[in-house]
Amino acid sequence: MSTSTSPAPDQMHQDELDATAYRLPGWEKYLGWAYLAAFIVAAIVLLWLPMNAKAYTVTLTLTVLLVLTLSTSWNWLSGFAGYTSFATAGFFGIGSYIGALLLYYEKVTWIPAVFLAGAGCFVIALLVGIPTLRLRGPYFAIAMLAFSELSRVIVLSWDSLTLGGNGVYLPILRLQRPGENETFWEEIQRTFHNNQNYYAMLALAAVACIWSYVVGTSRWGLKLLSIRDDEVAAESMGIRTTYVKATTFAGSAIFPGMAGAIYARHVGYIDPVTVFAIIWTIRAITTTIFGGRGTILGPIVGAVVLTLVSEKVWEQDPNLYQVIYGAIIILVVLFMPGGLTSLLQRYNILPRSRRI
Amino acid sequence: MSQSAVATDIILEVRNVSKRFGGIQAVNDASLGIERGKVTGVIGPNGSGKSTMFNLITGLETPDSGQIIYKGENIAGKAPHVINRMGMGRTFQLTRLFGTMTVLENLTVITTDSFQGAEELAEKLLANLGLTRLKNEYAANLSYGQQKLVEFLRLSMIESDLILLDEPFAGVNPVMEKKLLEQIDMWVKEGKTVLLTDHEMAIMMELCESIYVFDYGSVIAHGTPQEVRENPRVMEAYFGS
Repeated sequence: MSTSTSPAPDQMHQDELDATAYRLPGWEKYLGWAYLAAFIVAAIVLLWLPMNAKAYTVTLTLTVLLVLTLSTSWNWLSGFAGYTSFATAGFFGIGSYIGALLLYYEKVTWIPAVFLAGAGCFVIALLVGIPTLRLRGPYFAIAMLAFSELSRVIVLSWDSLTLGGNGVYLPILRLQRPGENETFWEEIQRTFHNNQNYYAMLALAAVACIWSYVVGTSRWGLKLLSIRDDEVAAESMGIRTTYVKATTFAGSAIFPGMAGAIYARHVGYIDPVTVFAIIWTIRAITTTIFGGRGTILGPIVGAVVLTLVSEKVWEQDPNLYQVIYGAIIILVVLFMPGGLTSLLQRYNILPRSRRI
Repeated sequence: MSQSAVATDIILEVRNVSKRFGGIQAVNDASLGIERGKVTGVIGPNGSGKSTMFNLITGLETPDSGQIIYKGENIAGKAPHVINRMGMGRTFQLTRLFGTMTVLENLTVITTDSFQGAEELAEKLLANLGLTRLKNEYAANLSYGQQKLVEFLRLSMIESDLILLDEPFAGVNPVMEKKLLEQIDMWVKEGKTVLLTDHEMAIMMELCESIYVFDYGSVIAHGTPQEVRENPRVMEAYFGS
């Protein structure tokens, strides 16, 4: 009786396979093109934006781009590879100071200063990363928290070089006024000149997005995921985990470094308390967790949504937005641990693709 | 003369290796000689040091003393990824796939960045075992037996000359067991060397040409399955006195 109704073992096995099989939707293969189109449209809109927007809108967009850069670069090691890092504030601060001091002492012009800030952070991250990335999980996180604090203390106390707690005033960007009978071309040039920090941040954010796509869709990205899933197995399967982690960490430190240098020039004055503030790290983490750790889109979507929401909250109450960040972390971890992208994937709105 | 003739047949030689964890002597002066192209088994009661021996060979643990000679080189204390790239692959007692990655990704991730044919090879391996449907499924969603199979296939993605299998048949249904055995056969036909441990005595006696018996971290017997079965010390270790 029972033998006639229950399927043969081989059939059972086949049913088991069918039950769990997942198929990507057909349109998934066009995702790359969709991204390219979205990227071009966004680039045109954002390039055009300062032409006829208020200074407030430009600054707000610059903040979105800044947070996007911080969260996207945080995501490579901490999202894909699962090594939660609290070093963002450290590199942001170091980059700000390298950029600001190079300008203050008139060593180089601002564009080389921004690149040198990135290069400086890359080297420091390599030196810090090689020993500390042998630590796992929470130990690495704590080491990075200490690194950020240590950087702040060093900058604060090395006042012969950094001017210590007095902070650094940067040369003011002289804005051009519209001339009479200004041609269209002259207007574009003036807009570009007056918003050079905005355009620099836009370029940096664009590179971060492209790099994120490259990381997310490459075998390198898979190696990062394998470290997150099971580092011991990854090592046993021939993946050079320390090398992968250290280079990813150093590469991702370039972005907060350069962003810091641009930010310093944008605000015109920096001091250790503001640029080494833990809130930079928290913003990167919250944004990425909200959007989806270890995804390409997560930090980008998160940066746009959360920065605009927190701006609205800020308008109501300047202190409330930090509370909102805390609440968002708790709610996301409790109710959508994979973030927005994973939630949409669960309801089959987005495919389970590495290109998400 | 005869010494060197023997040495060419030995792909892996473990010489007087010991490992202690705190108060526990996990492996005690153990020596093994694994012949190229053959299936060698390691048996012994739970906690007798089999898994520790595997971890020592694959570099996850460093021996306190002794040498591990693989392809003529002492690999004791080398990093796991270095040993792996010398052509040694392994599976784990509890499967260790990358759970949030798809089956296909689990196979391609371990190949080098320059290897262009990884996807094609992975698809071919999956097709051979009738697993093509699962290629885009997350590894964590697979049944235990399916995970074992994928872990097996992972070993075929890189050139592994020596394959270590840590209890491959534990908790696997008979259909899967058959598939795993087919894969082991295929490896042997390709000239690969297999070193495995398991508690399924019937399978071990059938599969292995040579068996080492561990007890309390030491090798207490070595020989053909027939010899091992008839050894009184083995009976004692397994069934007590």
